[in-house]
Amino acid sequence: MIDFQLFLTPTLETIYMVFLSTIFAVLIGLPAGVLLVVSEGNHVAPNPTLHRILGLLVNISRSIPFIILMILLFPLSRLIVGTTIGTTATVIPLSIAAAPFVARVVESSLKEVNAGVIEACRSQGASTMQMITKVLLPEALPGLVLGITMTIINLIGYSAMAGAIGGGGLGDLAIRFGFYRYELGILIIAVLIIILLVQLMQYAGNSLANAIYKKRS
Amino acid sequence: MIQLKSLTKTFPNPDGKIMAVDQVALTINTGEIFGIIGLSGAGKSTLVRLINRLEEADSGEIWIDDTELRQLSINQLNLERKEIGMIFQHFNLLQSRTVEENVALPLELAGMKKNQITARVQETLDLVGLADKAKVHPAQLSGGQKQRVAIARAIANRPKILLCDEATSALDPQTTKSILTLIKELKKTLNLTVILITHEMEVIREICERVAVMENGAVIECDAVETVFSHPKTKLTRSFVTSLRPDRKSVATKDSTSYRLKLTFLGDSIREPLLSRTIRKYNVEINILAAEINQLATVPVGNLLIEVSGSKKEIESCIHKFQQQEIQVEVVSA
Repeated sequence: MIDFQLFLTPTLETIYMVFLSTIFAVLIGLPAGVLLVVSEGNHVAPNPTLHRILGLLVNISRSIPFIILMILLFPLSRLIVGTTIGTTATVIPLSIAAAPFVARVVESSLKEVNAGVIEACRSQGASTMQMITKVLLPEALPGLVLGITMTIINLIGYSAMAGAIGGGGLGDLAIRFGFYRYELGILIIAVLIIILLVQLMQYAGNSLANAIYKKRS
Repeated sequence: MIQLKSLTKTFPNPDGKIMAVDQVALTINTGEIFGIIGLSGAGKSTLVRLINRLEEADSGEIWIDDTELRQLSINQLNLERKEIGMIFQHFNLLQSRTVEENVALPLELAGMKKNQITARVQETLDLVGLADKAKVHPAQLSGGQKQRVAIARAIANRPKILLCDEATSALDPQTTKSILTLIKELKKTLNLTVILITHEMEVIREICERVAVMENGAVIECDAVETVFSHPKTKLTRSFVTSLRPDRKSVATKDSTSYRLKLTFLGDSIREPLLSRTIRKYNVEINILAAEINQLATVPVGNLLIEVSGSKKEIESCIHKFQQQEIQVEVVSA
């Protein structure tokens, strides 16, 4: 018989990791994405050098495979959290892996904002900061919600991978019990819970975005 | 007063540079409605964007009263922009905001206090006749209503100047008229100076006092609207003037002795000796200007353009007679 108590802690750990790393990834990625957009050639605060450097940074960090990024970031985890093992330590590489993704997601949503609307607000004397907070972000909100949903789902996947090198959570459970101890049942249930989490998040994200669209139509 | 002095703007393109605005010098008086007409690509939209520096000019000066706009820093410019409202062909309203929130935006940008904003928004929506749509999102409005919201937004800060960039080009003729009437009213109540860009001569005739004609980035003619209409100097201006459709309203009220009518008749009525009977019955003379018969799928359709001369009363009764015979009558001109 499978002990369901076994799954409770890893599930909570996964949720904890994903939740925290989403927050940090958005804290880093959102400003980066906004800067990427507004610094572009004909946008509100053109700055080609900044635009190119940011784009390069984002591309480089997105090119590194997550598992390698995690190992590369061990020293940073040790510095901030004091250890490289466990859920809290895993939040560091997860956040840093997801941040450039968030930046690109934010960039593509903000680019969808109608150029005419931006022009109209410039004609009213909006400063760059006002343009970002009062025009770009609110106008792009449904796209941002969907993009962050996508980030959360990616992070659920990454967090399971992090389990392989001592990250805790459902991935860790699946590897330790299912792989090393041949308890296939536990592996399958762990995967099912991950699927359930992904479904729930996608459903919540879609509903929220649709609610915003509906309010505006 | 707005003074543009040898304003020039070029855009790079693969074969060198395109002269979008070429040495434009214009003086626009305070409180007038000034039209700028030209074909698409003539540079009129670029010119209007140079005025509030949505586009930066290559050279030249932009004077608004005693301020030269090109000398201002970006912060000073943003302050000055609050004195210059602007409306656009595609309205450019924010989807994330309701009508009242859209109108409130320029006030928020200007740092006005919340309770003052509420009062001002209310007042401004009343001015454009949309107070009942305050809580609605723009997606639910018609084109004309959206443009009214855009106008309310443009005048919320009570600017001195209103720039209109093809503001009626996406609207049907009826709505165009009502928007132009609104602009005319607002000009009076708020003492605005209006600069209006269009490619339609009718818009110029409807509300402008003076007009500049643009071609290839340069102003080729600039004068009072009546002068340009009666004595167009250039070929382009002549083509704009002749493109005008006859103004039906002024014809109908005129006590003229000669009317030009377009008659459209269907099916059997085509075979009636309509005109000879009319001449015999009424004291009018009829001159046929154009006639054609088209065979539709089931019935023939006749179109006849005639000129009827006689007393106003006689002409009206013969129009009435035509209509009784189920002939469509349209008064084309006098």
